[in-house]
Amino acid sequence: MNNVMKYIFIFSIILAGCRPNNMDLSIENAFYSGFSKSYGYRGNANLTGALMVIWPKNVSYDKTQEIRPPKVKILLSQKNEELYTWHEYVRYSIDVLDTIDGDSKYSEINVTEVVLEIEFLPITEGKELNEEEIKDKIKITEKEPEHIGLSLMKYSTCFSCHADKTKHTGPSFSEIAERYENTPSNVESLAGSILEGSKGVWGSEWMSSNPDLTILETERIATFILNQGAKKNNWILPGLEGTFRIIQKPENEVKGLYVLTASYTSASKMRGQHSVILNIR
Amino acid sequence: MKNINRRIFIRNTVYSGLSASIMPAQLIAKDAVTDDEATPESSTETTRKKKVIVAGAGISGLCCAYELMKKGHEVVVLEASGRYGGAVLSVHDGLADGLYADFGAENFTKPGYENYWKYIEEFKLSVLPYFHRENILTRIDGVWQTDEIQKEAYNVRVRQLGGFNKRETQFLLSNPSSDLQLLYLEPYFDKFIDEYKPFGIGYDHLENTSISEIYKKEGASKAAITILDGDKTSALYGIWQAYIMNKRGYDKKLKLFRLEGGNQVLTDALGRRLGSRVKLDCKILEIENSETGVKVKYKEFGETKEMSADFMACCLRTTALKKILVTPTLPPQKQFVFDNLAYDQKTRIVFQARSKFWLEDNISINLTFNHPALLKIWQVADEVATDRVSLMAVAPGGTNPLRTLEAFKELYPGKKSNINIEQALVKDWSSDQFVHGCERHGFSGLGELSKYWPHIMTVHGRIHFGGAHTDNRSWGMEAATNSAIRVALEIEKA
Ligand code: HEC
Repeated sequence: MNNVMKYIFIFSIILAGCRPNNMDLSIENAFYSGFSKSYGYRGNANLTGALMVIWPKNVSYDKTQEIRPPKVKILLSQKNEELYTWHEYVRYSIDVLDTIDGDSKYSEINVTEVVLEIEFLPITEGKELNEEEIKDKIKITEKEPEHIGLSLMKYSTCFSCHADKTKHTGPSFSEIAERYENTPSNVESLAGSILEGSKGVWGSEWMSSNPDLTILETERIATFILNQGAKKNNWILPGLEGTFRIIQKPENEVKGLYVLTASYTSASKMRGQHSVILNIR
Repeated sequence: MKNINRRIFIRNTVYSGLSASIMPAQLIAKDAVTDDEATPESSTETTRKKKVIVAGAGISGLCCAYELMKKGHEVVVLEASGRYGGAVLSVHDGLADGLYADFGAENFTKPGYENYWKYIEEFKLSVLPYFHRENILTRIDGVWQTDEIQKEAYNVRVRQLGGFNKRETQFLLSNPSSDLQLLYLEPYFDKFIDEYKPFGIGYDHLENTSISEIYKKEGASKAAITILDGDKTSALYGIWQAYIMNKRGYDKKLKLFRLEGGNQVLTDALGRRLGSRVKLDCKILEIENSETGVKVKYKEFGETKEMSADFMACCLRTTALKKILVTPTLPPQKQFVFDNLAYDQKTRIVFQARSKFWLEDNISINLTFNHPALLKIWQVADEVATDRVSLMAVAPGGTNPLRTLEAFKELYPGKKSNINIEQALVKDWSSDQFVHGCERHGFSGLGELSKYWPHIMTVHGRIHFGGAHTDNRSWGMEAATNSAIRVALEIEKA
């Protein structure tokens, strides 16, 4: 890093540190007139009625500010239908642009550091949605600071071999959570496996050791894995693109929301995120 | 890699880069086309010329496209990355004196690899014997053991378990101990008609039986049952795989080979013959499948484009396929395969040393460390005329090569001061965006096979599925060429 960059880097940490956690959300929703403000970059004129876009205010463009959080945007494959249906596949991609790290368009963003979180919110039959309720629903999913365990995993190699709900080279988080109860002693022993590497517990494939991590860090990771794996209607997908399948229609619900939140934390420790809501019928 | 900065990251992505312009020169086909261009055979009168999109320019996609081209069909290969060859990747850059190494597909065998050998002959490539699995030292519980010591330990164990029975002892007089299971499985081979059809020949019920049960039923000794260790392996899977191995002669003594100059010589030869039919940097985003053709949406240099064809030969691994939207949705059996198929994730580390330092310690350099940062090491490119040597090390995916070097130095069975390693190159397949991982895992568990087979290779609409993972054994380049030729034939006949 040259001196200028170092300076900017330090500056940004201070900046991020003294900012209030301004996660109050602004909503753009094509459904609800009078609520359609465009925040941030690239307007959303061409959004279909099935989409609602939530921009955290700190994504807004502020010319007087030297360091800005990265701009993150979820793009969904073009489709003709207004609404999403149960058990349908959806293709997504995520654009990331950061003044220092670069642009995902030019492969300058480390793809493993971009994460899409998907949350399913059921809507009980007969109840129509109003503005307040939607806001409430979103409040529930409003992002607290990212779990430190997840952050550590993004900067490590874990997602090369593990996925949240599907088996990969290593067991899925849900398999791990099913096998180990979320107790301090299990966290400790999983942390040990992460630190030292492992073979033979699940199969004959090796997991690499991670001597660069501390015991505390691996414990936080283990805690995250056990929490995340146990969540039924929540999925974590790393990377800039992919597909996911909307769940099958649950017995008691006719409608639901899929809340998609993409996030990226820049080298300057600034987090940018973007949420999109899919209405499922 | 916690505080990865932009500069380091960009350097790491060079191999998987966006365009050929940032490829190291040596990774691009070295020589211009010197071989005669393969002239398309005049297609047989009855078969119509078909337009085929081949998805993926790994060895399987290249081979499939080449076969179809030779038959006179119109092919376009869409490859997402900036190079062709996929998991076949030879490295020259960064190594001195003309040394090189194969970061990816490592070797091939004789007997075996029949389809692969045909290309070697057709392209007149030069083949070298490869001795990296001989004279191995293995670190077990922290102690270095020779093959002989291990053999002795094996014999002791057999004795402790009560010894082999008469039949087994007789059998082992003329067969290696690694073939012991054949004694009990060979009688089951007769019923196989097609090596791609394990089901429907009277063994379906064996999918949920363990292969140990077969050994027991056939009267195997306790020692044999314990040593063959098949409690968790389905009998159907075990018998089927043993049949394929037997048919291809893999239970005889295998000889290992590699291509002089690196195994990429073959994929380069295929790619050169296909010429501009291979389109690099074209990532497939969506596939529309129908009874009459396929329509593909892909991204070329950031621009979204569409292309239609009569057929698709899909030679992408499931890690890439998962990211593509296929409409209409494929059947649940296929989807299961996409969601659950797992691959080995390995890091390959190439060391360059100033000399054959291990000779001073009078030991073999074929070393199995069984350490989480260093599984094995052996010498490569030993024919290159220089004192320097290149060594290939394997570690689990995500391993830092300097930790591998550290483990090597710490555990090396000779004098540490003799080690004169001066360079380390790394290829971590687990972090490759295009070729995510190495060989696929098997389906050996009880009740597993029918979840994957034959769905993994089943045609849906106009999409035919190839790639090493779709073949009946997962041995890289053999499975890749077999599946490619199968798909080319399927499309030819369709
Ligand atoms: C090279 C592939 C690979 C990488 C990279 C990898 N893992 Fe694993 N992981 C595995 C495999 C394989 C297993 C099963 C090991 C076994 O059977 O003992 C596993 C097992 C685990 C387990 C369960 C351990 C137990 O005792 O049951 C946890 C937790 C885990 N990994 C977390 C992680 C984390 C966190 C990272 C990143 C720091 C990571 N893994 C990186 C392959 C990998």
